[in-house]
This record gives sequence, structure tokens and C-alpha cells, in this order.
Amino acid sequence: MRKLFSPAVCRTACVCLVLLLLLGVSALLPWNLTHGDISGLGLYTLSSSFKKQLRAVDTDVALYLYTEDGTPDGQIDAFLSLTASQSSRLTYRAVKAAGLPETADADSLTDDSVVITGNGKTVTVLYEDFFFYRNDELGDMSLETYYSYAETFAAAYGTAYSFSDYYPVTPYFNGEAKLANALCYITLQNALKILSPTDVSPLSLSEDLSLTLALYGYETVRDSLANALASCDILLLNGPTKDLGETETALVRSFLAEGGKLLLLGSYDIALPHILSLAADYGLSPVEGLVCEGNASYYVSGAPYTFAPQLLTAPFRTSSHTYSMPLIMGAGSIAIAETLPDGVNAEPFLVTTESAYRLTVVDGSTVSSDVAMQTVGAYAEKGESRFVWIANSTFFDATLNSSASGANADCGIALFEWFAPSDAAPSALSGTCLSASLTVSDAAKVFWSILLMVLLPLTLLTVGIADAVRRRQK
Amino acid sequence: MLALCKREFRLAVCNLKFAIVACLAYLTSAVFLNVFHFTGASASLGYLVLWLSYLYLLFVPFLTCDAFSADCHSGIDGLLYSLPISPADSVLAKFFARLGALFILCAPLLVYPLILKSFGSFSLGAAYALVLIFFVGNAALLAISFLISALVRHAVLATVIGIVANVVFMAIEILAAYLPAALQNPLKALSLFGCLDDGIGGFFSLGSFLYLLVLTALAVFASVLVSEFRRVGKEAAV
Repeated sequence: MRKLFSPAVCRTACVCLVLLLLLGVSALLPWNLTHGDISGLGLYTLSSSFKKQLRAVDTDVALYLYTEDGTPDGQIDAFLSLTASQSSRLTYRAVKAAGLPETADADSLTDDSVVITGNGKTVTVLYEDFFFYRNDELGDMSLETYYSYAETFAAAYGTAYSFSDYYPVTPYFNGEAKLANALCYITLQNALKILSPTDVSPLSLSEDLSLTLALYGYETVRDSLANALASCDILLLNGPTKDLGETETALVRSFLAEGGKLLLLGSYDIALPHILSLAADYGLSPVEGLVCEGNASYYVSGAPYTFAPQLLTAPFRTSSHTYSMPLIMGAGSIAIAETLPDGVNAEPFLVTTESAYRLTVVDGSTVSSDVAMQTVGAYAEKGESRFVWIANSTFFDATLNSSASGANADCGIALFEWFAPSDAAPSALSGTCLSASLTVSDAAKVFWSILLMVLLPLTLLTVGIADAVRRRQK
Repeated sequence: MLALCKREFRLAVCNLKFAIVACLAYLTSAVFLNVFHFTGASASLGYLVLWLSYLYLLFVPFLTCDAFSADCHSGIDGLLYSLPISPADSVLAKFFARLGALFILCAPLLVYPLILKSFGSFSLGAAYALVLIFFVGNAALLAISFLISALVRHAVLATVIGIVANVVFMAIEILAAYLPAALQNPLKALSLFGCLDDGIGGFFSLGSFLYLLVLTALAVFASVLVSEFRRVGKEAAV
């Protein structure tokens, strides 16, 4: 055995042991000390503001990366590991469905989605929401919106033309903003409450919009009006199908008189006297008929009742965060009284062009009104109270909102912020570009291709053959 | 040892087989450069390295296949035992010579970032870090092939087994999916591709990097032991 352990063997064994020791030590070190960003794009470099937010987390927050097959996406996995390594309050695990917290709905998750729990709250960031596409003309859009555009484009022009050729997009990773928003919601102590009463409307806000609102510091409450109105900040009547009773109407009137805020989403067919009486208190009333846009530039081809309204100046933000305009489908028209009740100020903020008209049914036949501008959204204020009416019950519909690249939700958020500003400050889409590109001229391409693909390999081969021949001759 | 290393390097590099392998390696890497960077305009070396890592699985065993078989067939191995250096040193010299040959195969990757830098925003630091991980990953494959060559001592057989072993080590992550759940995670941790994947994905993992070095060192150590066992066996026979 002594013969076997020559100095060289011992040296090699020592090198192995040292390396094994280093490997063991590296496993014990925190993630951020043993990993570095070599993406060249800053994918794994957290901004100082996000680091500050993470270090300020004072409640236990668990991050779960849901993987269907147990193999997590490398990029998201690394990003979450890096995020969790910034604070001892954060824990991260990649789990299959069985490992998810009970509050998470595994059926609604896509592979590599992230579930975040803490402070008694649960929030989900879907995998596809970590990314967005940017086009110079169309602006920023979710992957879902992009593919929806592409499908519409293909349906209109066939497969001979590719949507991506006309609207090339650059992919962006938006993980930091998404996690920052989610953590903001989890750690927010006093969320503002939006009551969507169950006894007036069967419609709840879509999960997407609820989450978006949550990130802005608003919590959606589903309860009966009588039970929950007193503890809420904003009342949302989202496509009401049932009128308020006398008692509830009095409650809402009292709520508004004390500076309450009400957002009514009711279409052209709204016929609920008590709710309309509340609108009448602010000088607003419905005009009969379905609003159709007459200017083809503003409506969806073949469907003039689905159109993009004009956004007028208002006390709240009417310019969208996205490049898209809100979409309205099946709207009614709102009339603003010429003589408003005392102390009330009411103005339109969503209107059609001058070419719009209304369709009404008279004696079984459809009749078109004169062409004129129609008001489809109006706001009113009286003292501290605020009343906004958008004459479209599907304004917050997930599909419509997606078709408008989130502009409908954005409009809603602007309204809620006007109603009651929250403490939350969500991070905007900033993102890290995933495809930095080079500019290679044709001449350079040809030059380097010939040099590297032809001359260099041939030279090597020639030298090798010459050497082989020389050896054989020897 | 240095003299032996130089001799081994000349033997490994100055032959038609190496010229063909190097020609193919340079050609394929230039084709990928053309596809991903000149045509695709990508500013990340990730795709190029990913595809090259598949190809180098095949190239690497050719560098080591005759490391021991040539000496064995020509009878030089017997003479090596009589040199004033130990057989273990001669094995290390052979390995470092092959590592030099591997460096020549990877040399284009040292030049490409400089070329690409002239076409726009391109991170040289990120590119060279990735090239380093790629080189160390292939060094691990080289060490595995080297060990097989030390065990088999037959050039063709060593090449075939080396390729199979490299594919298994690289694809162990995929193969693990077909095994019981309890075995999956330990096997995935052994995957060489998983280590390369970290780099290609854009982050440097010290653990992965050290794992590649440990694997290389262990394979070389095993080769040294094999060689020493043979020497002891021969001495005992004499």
C-alpha cells in the first residue's frame, strides 16, 4: 500500500479533498454570496429600492414556486432565490401542487407561477406575468394580449402575413416589479376597502383586476350592502341587476352624504329606480338606447357598439399607463342635467365622437337616433362625496380589459385613486430587456463568415494533413 | 514532468485526428456564431455555448481516447515506469496535455466576444465568465473520458464508452425523470448540464463551478489510482 501512495497520488488526493471542502463550505454560505449575475443584462441584479423594500419586510413571507413536474424554471428559480436571500423574513421553496399553501388555488396556476403568503394574505403571480412584450407602436403588452392580437391579425389577414413581422416585439422580464407589488400588498397593513355588494350584483370583479387593485392597496369586499357599507371606503355597483331597497338606498345616501364614494357601472338597459335616483342626486340620468360609434377609426370592425371612447380631462388621471385606450361594449348614454343640484359639479370624461348614435327598439323595429356625441362616462362631486357612472356594465370584464391591454383596469384604478388614495405605490412596468441585439452589417457578416467558417477550419485541416504526410514520409 | 507534459501535448495535438476534430469544432462554432449572432443578432453567448456543449460531448472523447492506448501498444508505458518521475506524475502530465488540447478547441470562444463587441452593446465580462464555465464543464467531461481511457486502454472502445458516459453525465437530469422520486433530486444534482445551464441562464453559481472542479479532480485522481494499481501489479508480476 505504501507503494501505491506516492507523493503524486497524495497531492492529487489533497487537491480533491480541498475542493470537496470548498464545495461543502459554499453550500453553507448564503445564496447571494455564492451566486453572481453574468447575464450581461442585469437579470439577477436587484435594484437598490427593491433590496431596501425586501430588507424592510417585518413579517414572515413565504415564496412558493409551483412546478408541475418538480423541475423549476431556472430563471425564476434563481431570481426567487436571490430575492429570498435578501431578508431572513423571506423563505423560498420550489414545490409541486401538494406543497402549496392551502390558500393557493393550484388549479388556476400555470407551471412556474409564484404563490406568496404572509400576514394572512395570499397573492399569486402567474409565470406569464413575469414577462411582457414591448412594441414601439403598440406599447407594452402582456403575453396574453400579444397572442390575442396575433390571433385577431391572423383571422383578418390569414397566414400569409405574420403579426410579428408588422409589429416586432422585444421581450422583457418584469420579475422585480411584480414581486415588489406582491410584497407591497402582503405587507400593507391598512388596505382601502371596495364593497361590491352581493345583494345588488352577481358580478364580482375578475381575479386579475382584484389582484391588480390589491397591489394598489385596495381590497375588494363581497358582502351584503347593509352589513359592510359602514366599514368600506368605496361602493362599487358593478352591473347591478337588482335594485336597492328603500333602506339600502337611504344607507347609501347617508354614506355619500358623509363623503362616501360610489362607482356605478350600468349599461343602456339599466332600469333600477332607486339606483338611478342616487345618480339623479348628482344630476345624472340615463338616456334610452344602445350607443354605437359612427367613426370607423374608433370601433371594432363590424361591431360599432364596441368602441374606444375619448378620454376628457378630469380631476383624475385619464391618460393611461398603457398605450391603449379603454374599450366599451354595449354602453348606454348618460345625460347631465343642465341645472345641477346645489353644490354638485358633474362633467363627462368618457365620450364618443360626434358621429355616434343610439339604437332603440320601437314597436319591434330598431330605430337610430340623430348623430351626436354621447357621454358614456361622467363624474360628479358634491363636497367630499364622489359619484362616477360608466354606462357599461362589462367595463371591468377580463376579456374586454385584456383586449384593451389593461386600459380599462387602468382607468378604474385612476378612479379609485381619485376616490381614496392608498398608501401602496406599485412598481410600474420597468423590466429588463431579454434580447439585447447586435447590428451586424452584411459586409461584416460575409467577411467574418468566410474567415471563421472557411479559411480557419481549412487551414487547420491542411496543417494536419501536411503534418501527417510529413510523418509518413519520415 | 514539464518535459513529459510537452511531449504529451505534441502527441495529442500534432496529428491528423486532432486536426479533423479541431476543424469540425471551429467550423461548427463558426456556424453557430453566424446563426445566433450574425443572423439572429443575439447579444448573449448563451445559445452558442448551449449548442456547442452538445457537440463537445462528441469531440472531447477523441482528445483522450489514445492517452494510454498508444503507450500501451507501443510498449512505452513500461519505459515510463523506469523514468525518474512517478507514473502518477506521467498521468497528470497526460491529463494537462489533453487539457491544453481542449483549450485549443475552445480558443474560438475567446475571440468571438471581441468580434461581437464591435457590433453593439455586448458584455465581455458576462461572455468570458460563460466561456470559463463552458471550459471547466468540458474539462470535467475530458477527465471522465480520460478515466475511461485509463481503464479501457483501447482507443476505439474508449471513444465509444467516453461518448456514452459524457451523454449520460450531461443528460442525467432527463434520465432521472424516469427513476423513483427519491432518486431524482440526488441524480439531478450530479448533472453536468445543470451546472452549465446555470451559466447559460445568466448566473454564476460557485457551487456548480466547484462541483465541476471536484468532478474533474476526482476523475483525474481515479485515473492516477488506476495507473498506480497497474504499476504495482506489474511490479508484483516482475
